[in-house]
Amino acid sequence: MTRISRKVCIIGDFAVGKTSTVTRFVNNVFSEKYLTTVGVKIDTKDLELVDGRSLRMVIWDIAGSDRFSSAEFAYMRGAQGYLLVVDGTRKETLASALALRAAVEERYGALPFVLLLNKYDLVDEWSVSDAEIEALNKQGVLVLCTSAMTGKCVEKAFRDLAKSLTGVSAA
Amino acid sequence: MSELEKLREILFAKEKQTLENIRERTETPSTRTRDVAEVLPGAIGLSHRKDPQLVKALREPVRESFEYAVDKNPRAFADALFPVIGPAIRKSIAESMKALVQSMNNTMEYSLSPKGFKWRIEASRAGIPLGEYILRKTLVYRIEQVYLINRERGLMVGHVQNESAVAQDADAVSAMFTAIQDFVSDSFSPDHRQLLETADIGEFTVWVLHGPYSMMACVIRGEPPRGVRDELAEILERINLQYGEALEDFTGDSDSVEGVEDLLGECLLLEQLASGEDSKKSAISPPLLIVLLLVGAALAWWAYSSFQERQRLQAFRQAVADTPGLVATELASDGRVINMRGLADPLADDLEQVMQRAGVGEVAVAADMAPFQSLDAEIILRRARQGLKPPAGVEFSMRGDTLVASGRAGAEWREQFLSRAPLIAGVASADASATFVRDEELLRQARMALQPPAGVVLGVEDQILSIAGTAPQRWIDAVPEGLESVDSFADIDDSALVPSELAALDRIVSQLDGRTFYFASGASLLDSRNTALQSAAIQLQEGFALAELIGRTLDVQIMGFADGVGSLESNREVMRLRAEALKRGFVAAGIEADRISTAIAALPDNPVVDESMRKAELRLELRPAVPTP
Ligand SMILES: Nc1nc2c(ncn2[C@@H]2O[C@H](COP(=O)(O)OP(=O)(O)OP(=O)(O)O)[C@@H](O)[C@H]2O)c(=O)[nH]1
Ligand SMILES: [Mg+2]
Repeated sequence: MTRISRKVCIIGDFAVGKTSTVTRFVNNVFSEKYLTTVGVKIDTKDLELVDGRSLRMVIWDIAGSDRFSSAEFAYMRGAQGYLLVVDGTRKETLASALALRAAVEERYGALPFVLLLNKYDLVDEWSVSDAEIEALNKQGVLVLCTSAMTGKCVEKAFRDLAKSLTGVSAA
Repeated sequence: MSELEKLREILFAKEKQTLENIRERTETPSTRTRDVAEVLPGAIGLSHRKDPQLVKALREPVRESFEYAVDKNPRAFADALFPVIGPAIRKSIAESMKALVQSMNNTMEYSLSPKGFKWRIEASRAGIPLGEYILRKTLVYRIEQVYLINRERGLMVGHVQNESAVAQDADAVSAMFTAIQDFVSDSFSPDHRQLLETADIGEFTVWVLHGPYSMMACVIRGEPPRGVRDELAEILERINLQYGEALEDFTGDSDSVEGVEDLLGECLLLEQLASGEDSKKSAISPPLLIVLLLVGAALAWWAYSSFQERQRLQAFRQAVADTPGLVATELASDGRVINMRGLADPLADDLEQVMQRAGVGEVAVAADMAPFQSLDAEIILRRARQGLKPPAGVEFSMRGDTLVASGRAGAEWREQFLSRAPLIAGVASADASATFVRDEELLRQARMALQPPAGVVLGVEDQILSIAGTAPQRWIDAVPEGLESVDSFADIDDSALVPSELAALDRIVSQLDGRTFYFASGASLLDSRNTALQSAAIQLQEGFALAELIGRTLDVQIMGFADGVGSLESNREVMRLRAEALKRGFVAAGIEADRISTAIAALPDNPVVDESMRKAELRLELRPAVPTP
C-alpha cells in the first residue's frame, strides 16, 4: 500500500498557541497550562484522502520566536508546508509571523502554508481587524480564525494544508 | 576575364569548386571543429593503440581538469564516490583488523586460563579465528530497529524492527532523529557539518550511518562490536546504489522506494545471525551440551570407578594379608580383573571367602598361586586337626611352636597325639597335659557333683569313673546330668550300679513266689481274716509300686490245685474255685483284680489222692518293662 508522509511545520511567535493547536488536532484535548516548547516537538497524525490513500502528517512544532535562529531554520529544512500561527489577541504576533514567513521563503522558497489567527474564542480581546485579514486574503494567503481551546477550524487548517501538499482533499 | 581564364573556367570549374570547398573547410574554425569531432574518437583510439604517446600527452590536462572539477563541486564527487569509497575503506580496515586479530591469536596461544581454553574450543568449533571470537564473545548485542531517514526532511523512508522491539511511531522517531541531528550539528559543530554518529540511551546504542541523502539509524541493544558498523554501512551503500535517485528526491511517497525495507531488513537479519551465533556460543548448543554431559558423566564415572577400583584393590590386598596361608607377591587391578600372584597353603581359605571378607562384592580375580606350607599358627592348627583328628571336646592351640591339646581325651589317643604331633609341619613339640585331670581330683569333683547315697561306691582310675552299689533309680537317672559340671572322664563304668528298687522287688518276688494257701477237703473258701494272706497282699502292693518305679512288670498268677478225690471234672472245678477264692481274698485285701490272673494245675491221668494238694499257690515273675508303643 502506498504510504505518503509529509513534513509540516508549525511556526509563530511564542505563546500564540502552536502546541495547543497541534495537541487539539492530534489528541483533541486542550490545556490552559502554558508549557513553552523548547527546540522542537514532533507529532504525527494520519488523514484519509478522498482518493483512498492515507497521509501521515509529521508535524514539527517549533519553539516560538519572532525571529528564527539557525536551529529553527534547520528544523524548517525540508518542510513541505507550514502553519503560521498568530495570537489574535496580540497584534504584534501577526507582524512576527509575517517576518518568519518572509525568512522561510527567502531560505527555502515559497511553500504552501495556512495562516491561523488563534484564540478566536477570546473575542473581547481580539485585535486583528477584518481589513487586515482582507489584505492578507488579497495576497493569496489562506487565513483561518481558529481556537485551540474550542477546536474551531483547527482540523480545517490541517486539512487545507494537506490538500495543498498532496493536491488531493482529505476525506 | 581573359581567354585563359575562361578556358580554365571551362576545363576546371568543377575542380575549382572542390578546391574552394576544401579551402573553406580548412580555414573555417566551426567546420574544422565539426570535422575533427567526427574523427576524434577514432583517432584517439587508433593513436592509443599505436603507441603510448597519447596517454602521456593527456595525463597532465586530465589531472588538472579533474582537480578543477573537484574543487568546483566537491559534493557531487563525494556523492558519486560514496558507493565506491566505502567498500574500499572498509576493505583496508578489514585487512588491518585481520592483522590485529592475528596478533591476538598469538597472544592467546599462550593463555592457558580455563576461559581461554574454552573459548579456543568454541572458536575452533565455530570455525573462526580465536581473536575474532573473543571480540564477538565479549560484545553481545542485538539490533532492535533500523530507520532509514531522508535527511533533508526528516521523513522516514523505511523502518524495520525486531519482533521483540517496542512498536513506536516510526515517522515521529525519524523526525526526532533528524531534529536531534540538526540540533547537534547546530550546537556543537563549528561548521554545522559534523554529524551525530552514536548516541547512548540507557541500554540502547543508536548508530547513525550517513549516506548522501539519507541516514540510517540503528537502535542496538547492548554493545555492538565495531565491525558490525561496517556491515551496516555496506547495507546502506547497497541501498544508495539501488535507490540513490529516489532517496535524493524523496518527498514522502513510499512508492518511490518500494522494496527498500527488504534491504533494511538485512540489518536485522545480519544482527539476528550475529547475535544468534553469539547466543549459540554463550549458551552451549544442545548437541554439545549432551556431549559435554556424556563426557562429564564418563569422567565422573571413571574417577569414581577408579577410586572404587583402588578402594577395592586395597580392601582385597588387606584381606589377603589378613588371611593365613596366603601370600600375595603381586597384586594389581586392570579395572575389571584383579590379577594376583603368590603362594597359597592348600589349607588356606579359598579366594571366595577372602573376597567376601574384603567386602569387594562381584569382582573377578585371576590368581596364579603356587602351593606351599604355611607356618602361620592358624594353618598349623588346621594341619594338626586334619592329621590328628582330635575327639570331640579336645581343642588345639599353639604355644610358640608347641601344639597344645586340651580337653577330655583318652589315654590311647593322647599317646598317639604325643607321638605324631611333632611330625606335623610347623609343630616342634606336643603338650597333652591339659587333656587329663588327676584321678583324685576327678573323684573329688564327681563326689561333689553326684552326692552318692549310702550304698554307692565311686572310684576313678585312669580317668575312668566307676559307680557301683545300689541307689534309687531317681539318683541313677540324674548321674549324667550331675557329671556335666565335672571335668571330662575318659569313660564311665556303671555296670555294678543297681537300682535299690530292683533289689527290694527281687526280695519280694523271692519271698512271695510259691507262697501256698491251704483249703479244707473239697472246700473252696478261705478265711478272710487269714493273716498270711493279709501280709502277702501288703507285699504284693509294694512290689507293684516298685516295679512301676523302675519300669518293670510284675506278673502275678494264682494256681489252683486239687487232691484227686472224685471225678476229673469235680477236681478241675475245685481247682478253679480255689484259685478264684484266693484271688477274691487278695482283691478284698486291696489288690486290683486285673493285676492277678488265675490258672489250674494239670491233673495226672490216674490221679493219686494227695491231701497236701488241697491248696492254691502264688506265682510271681518279674519281666522287663514292655516298651510302650
Ligand atoms: N483562550 C485560548 N487560549 C489558548 C488558545 N490556544 C492556546 N491558548 C493558551 O495559550 C498559552 C500558550 O499556548 P501554547 O500552545 O503553549 O503556545 P505555543 O505557541 O506552543 O508557545 P511556545 O511553545 O512557547 O512557542 C497556553 O496557556 C494555552 O492554554 C486558544 O485558542 N484560546
Ligand atoms: Mg509550544
